[in-house]
Amino acid sequence: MAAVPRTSRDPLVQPRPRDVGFSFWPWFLQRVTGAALVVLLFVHLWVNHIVGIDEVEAGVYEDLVLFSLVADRLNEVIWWVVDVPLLGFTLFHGLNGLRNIALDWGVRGRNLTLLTWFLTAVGAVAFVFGMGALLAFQLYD
Amino acid sequence: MDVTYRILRFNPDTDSAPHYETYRIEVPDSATVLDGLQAIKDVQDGTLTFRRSCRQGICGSCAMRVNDRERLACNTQISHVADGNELRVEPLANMAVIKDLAVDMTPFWQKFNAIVPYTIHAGERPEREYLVSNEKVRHLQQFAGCIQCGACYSACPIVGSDPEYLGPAALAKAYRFVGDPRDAAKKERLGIVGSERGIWRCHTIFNCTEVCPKGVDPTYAIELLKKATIRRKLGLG
Amino acid sequence: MAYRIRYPHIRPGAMETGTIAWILHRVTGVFLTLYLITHIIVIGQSVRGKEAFDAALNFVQSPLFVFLDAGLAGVVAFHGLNGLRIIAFDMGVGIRWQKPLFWASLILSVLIFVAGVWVARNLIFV
Repeated sequence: MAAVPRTSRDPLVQPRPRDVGFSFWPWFLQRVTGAALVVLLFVHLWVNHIVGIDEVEAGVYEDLVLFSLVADRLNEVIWWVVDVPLLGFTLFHGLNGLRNIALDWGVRGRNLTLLTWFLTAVGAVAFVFGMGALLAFQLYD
Repeated sequence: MDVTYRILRFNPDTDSAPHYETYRIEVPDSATVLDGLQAIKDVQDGTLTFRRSCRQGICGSCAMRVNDRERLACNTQISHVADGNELRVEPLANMAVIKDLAVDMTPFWQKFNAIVPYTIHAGERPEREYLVSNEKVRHLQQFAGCIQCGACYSACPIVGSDPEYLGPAALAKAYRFVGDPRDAAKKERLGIVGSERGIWRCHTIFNCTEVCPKGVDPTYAIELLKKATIRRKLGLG
Repeated sequence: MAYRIRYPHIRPGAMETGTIAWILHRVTGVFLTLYLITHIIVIGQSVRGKEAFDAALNFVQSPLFVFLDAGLAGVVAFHGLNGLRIIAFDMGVGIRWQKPLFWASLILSVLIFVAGVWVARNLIFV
């Protein structure tokens, strides 16, 4: 019993586009970082804006967000486990989102490559600067 | 009943720009939008151009925008959609207007062909028929019901913004084969739709599902393709 | 370029739920990305030392900014909740309830904004 012959006109015989390779991962990671951020951002907002309101109202602290309060928090390692992924995931999620908008507008080829490198550079610079900001709370304390 | 049609007309050979023309006709109460168009063409203005064939909702020729919504002219009753006694009729969006209500469906067909819209078999042929379960057939029938009318392409903003995007009809048809146990090319098909011009451009806007006259629900098909890709990429089968 | 009708479904006043959800998700996303960059710069004042940081943060904790922060929480809530709705679809779940899920996300986000204003009311309405 012969298998169905694959003629040369069969598009599946021709060199075919790369299998679901690179383009799956940005899409997938957008969802992974997004889901993680729902938790991380909730914790971030809670710890920085809800905790301590009573003290501020009572006049114990002048503001909710003070250098000394943030520095105290960052003395515990657990907060690095929250804040470093928070920084990285938000940058990836946001900048990848901008790349998606460009893709929706039909940006391809060289323009897409340039845009991707530009967004990557922005993300890298912002991440390094953000890490520096976090470290400053330890170094200047 | 008396009906007023405002039709967006455009003849690129003679007109500088598209413009609305108004026609008043009298049709039976149960008349469809297509009945009215045919009456206008027969009696008032023979130059009016539109596609039609079966007049029973199966050929997909007469898809157009009626009062701001994609519909098949042949199975849309005037009395159901008229605004008072007025109808505004326009060609499908996102495709170049050839003349009046006829648009260039070439990109639609190119994208349709790009997803390889036929079963690829491999291995031994069975003695008798290929057996597929009732559940599977019922599941796939929805996506096989597409009449290639183009309403979904008109409704999808991403088809409008990205000329390469394969679009709802092609992707729904791709799922019809990915989900078919008789097809042996699942990996290759997921490769074709898993590119930046494929399923990743869909943002679950759902317009295609809203306007499809045959209930194909392309958004659902595209989500199933995404789910199948996740399973494959993460090694879950 | 030949004439074609463009974006007929994007028209204020008469949009389908799915279109509204997509536009809102995208607009909030772009806004949040731009906000993120400014936020990193503001918090980054820590590199200039304790006094500089506290001065900068004092400015963005005036009553108006506390109110805007509650608004920000609402925007984050919408983008996150609608994002979870999208993730559900990508796992093949909830597609039949796409419209109620959107309205639920929107209403919950407004409630979160209101809750934020309430919790910080003594810092806003001095």
